Amino acid sequence: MHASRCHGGRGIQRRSPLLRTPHVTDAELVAVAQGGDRAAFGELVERYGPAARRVARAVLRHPEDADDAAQDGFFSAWRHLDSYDPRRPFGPWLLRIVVNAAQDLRRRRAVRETDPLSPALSAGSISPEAVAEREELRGRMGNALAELPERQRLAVVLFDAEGFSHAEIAELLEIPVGTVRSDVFHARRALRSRLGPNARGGS
Amino acid sequence: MSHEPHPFDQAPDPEIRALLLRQLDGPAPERFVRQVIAGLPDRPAANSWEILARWARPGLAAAAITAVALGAWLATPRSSEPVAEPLLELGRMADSELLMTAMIREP
Repeated sequence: MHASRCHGGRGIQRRSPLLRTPHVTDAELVAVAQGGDRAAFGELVERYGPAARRVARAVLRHPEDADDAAQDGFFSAWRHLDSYDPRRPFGPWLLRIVVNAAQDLRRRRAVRETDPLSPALSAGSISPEAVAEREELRGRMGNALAELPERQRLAVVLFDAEGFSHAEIAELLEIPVGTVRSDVFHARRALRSRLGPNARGGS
Repeated sequence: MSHEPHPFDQAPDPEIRALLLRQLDGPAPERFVRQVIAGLPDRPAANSWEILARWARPGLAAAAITAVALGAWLATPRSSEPVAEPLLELGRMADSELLMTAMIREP
């Protein structure tokens, strides 16, 4: 996993003595949070919040529904911290809960199907043409993602955006490793064919 | 996008990663964190001994497995006779038989 897997101690200066220690591991934070320490759990929310929101958005296209699901996932993880097995990595355990929360939310209510994802683009020094081009690419990417079967969408997000291995994704999604490999391959191929040769991820 | 995906790619694709992050990243991450922490329901604080016991359990299980394996290894009867002795004896017998056979067949 990339940034979201980092165990750095950003923003922990005003918290309990353990949290002031640099490089506190997820397992150590969970151990403290299991005693009811909200600050320790808050550090885990900081570390995994972005990944949880992205994964929820891979299930639910509407950003507000996805944020609700990610939040529900964190609440559920907080309530069930006692069932976390400290020998296993925390990230996949948490994201499994987030995926379940997103799927539950979709079942419980008719979630919005549109994809108005449009975080304010800071126009600043970017020309109107560049903004328009970026928006157009975002639209195409949104459509390409929406056309993928949900399992492929989750697999490619977990592999390419979150940096999990095929084996970790297999465990998280409870499917064979070969299926994950195939899902990532097909999802990437579909995205590339929909986005065309000129699409670039850089800003 | 120039790179052709391969079923055995082991590393994340940087171009697809950048596009996915741009597409899926939510705005105002700090606000999201604040909302989650503020909304955390009450959670009964677990007894410290229970937490300690839960974390010690894997260690105790590993120690028990090691002890059982060590006990089984120590309990296995082992012969004091070196393995080399019977093998050397066998070799000597075979040599003499071969030598006799060769001498008899020799005109």
